[in-house]
Amino acid sequence: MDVRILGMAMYQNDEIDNKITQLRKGILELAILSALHRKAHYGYSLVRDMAAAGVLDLKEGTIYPILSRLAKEKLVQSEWVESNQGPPRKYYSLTCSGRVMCEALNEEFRRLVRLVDNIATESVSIPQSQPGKRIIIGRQDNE
Amino acid sequence: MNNGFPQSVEKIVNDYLERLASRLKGMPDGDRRELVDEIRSHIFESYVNESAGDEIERILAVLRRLGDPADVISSRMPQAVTRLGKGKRAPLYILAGILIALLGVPLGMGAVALLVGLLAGLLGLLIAFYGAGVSLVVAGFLTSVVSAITIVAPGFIYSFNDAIGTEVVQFGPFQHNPQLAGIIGLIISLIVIGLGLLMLWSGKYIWRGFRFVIVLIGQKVRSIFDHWSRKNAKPLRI
Repeated sequence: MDVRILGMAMYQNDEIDNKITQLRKGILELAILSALHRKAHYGYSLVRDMAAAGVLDLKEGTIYPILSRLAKEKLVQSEWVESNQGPPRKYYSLTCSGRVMCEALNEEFRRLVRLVDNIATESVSIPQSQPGKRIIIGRQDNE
Repeated sequence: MNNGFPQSVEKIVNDYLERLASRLKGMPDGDRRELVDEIRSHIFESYVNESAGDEIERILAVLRRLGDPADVISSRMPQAVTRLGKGKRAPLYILAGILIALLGVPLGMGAVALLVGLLAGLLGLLIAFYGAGVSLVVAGFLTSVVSAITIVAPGFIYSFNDAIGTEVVQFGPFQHNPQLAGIIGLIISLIVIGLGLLMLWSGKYIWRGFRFVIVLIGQKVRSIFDHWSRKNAKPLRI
């Protein structure tokens, strides 16, 4: 039985990491789309823009797989532009369908945040409304 | 190609980009070159904007923020490559694979055989237990019938003996009082019936134990399967 419980705990940790990664990556994609919705960016300026906005602390390199997937889905387009210092920059901007997608996702995201907020505040209020139960449990433990 | 990096920094950058490019084998040449150029451009911009420390410290900070080459390519490449691309763990995976192949399979077979044996043993116990219970009830019932006949009509039993020709039924010490023998026989046979019924009734606990073991095994198998399939599915999502 001990082994089973230990296994479950390890499994849960793994699961939490996995969930957080998924959640972050989903939101990161939306953050990238939103940043590109305001203006065109090259990779480094995109990272700096999002860091300034306080977006998720993660490795800068992770935006590139997402950008390439968005390009494959024809949501963003890119072009190389000469820079006056150093190598040329690859600028990304939203396509028409990227713009539509970004607006739809933002709307849905706000709806979901409101929903999660509502659920979270409701579930917090339940234990507060039954303070007597906790006292009884404590007493049983002492016996 | 010189992009304005100092020489020592250029070496570090090239080393990083080479490691990146080596992970991108299998990608079309043009795409690979474009991605490497893009990352080089990123490193340059980041380096120019990094102010703290000397050249080496600056470039190391830039590359640390950028992340491992595996981070930059994950989800571009097929799942297997990405997993191996996570680098240092690959030999561990291979070692684990060899160990599993060498030890795990025979051990697994042994465990399966053990499980099958356990199940068969429990099943046998269950059958034997119910068999004993049923036969006790049947035997007790038959004996009680005979005993009842003996009490009511002792002569009938003797006529049975006469018909066969030998003494099938004997009353031993109760030769002269077959009715007492009948009463004792009836009591004993009722006790036997009771024992049999008790066994059948208590058999449900063995049955429950049996079911519990099967459910336990089922859960374990399912959890292993879930865990396994989840592990495999993980790299597919982004």
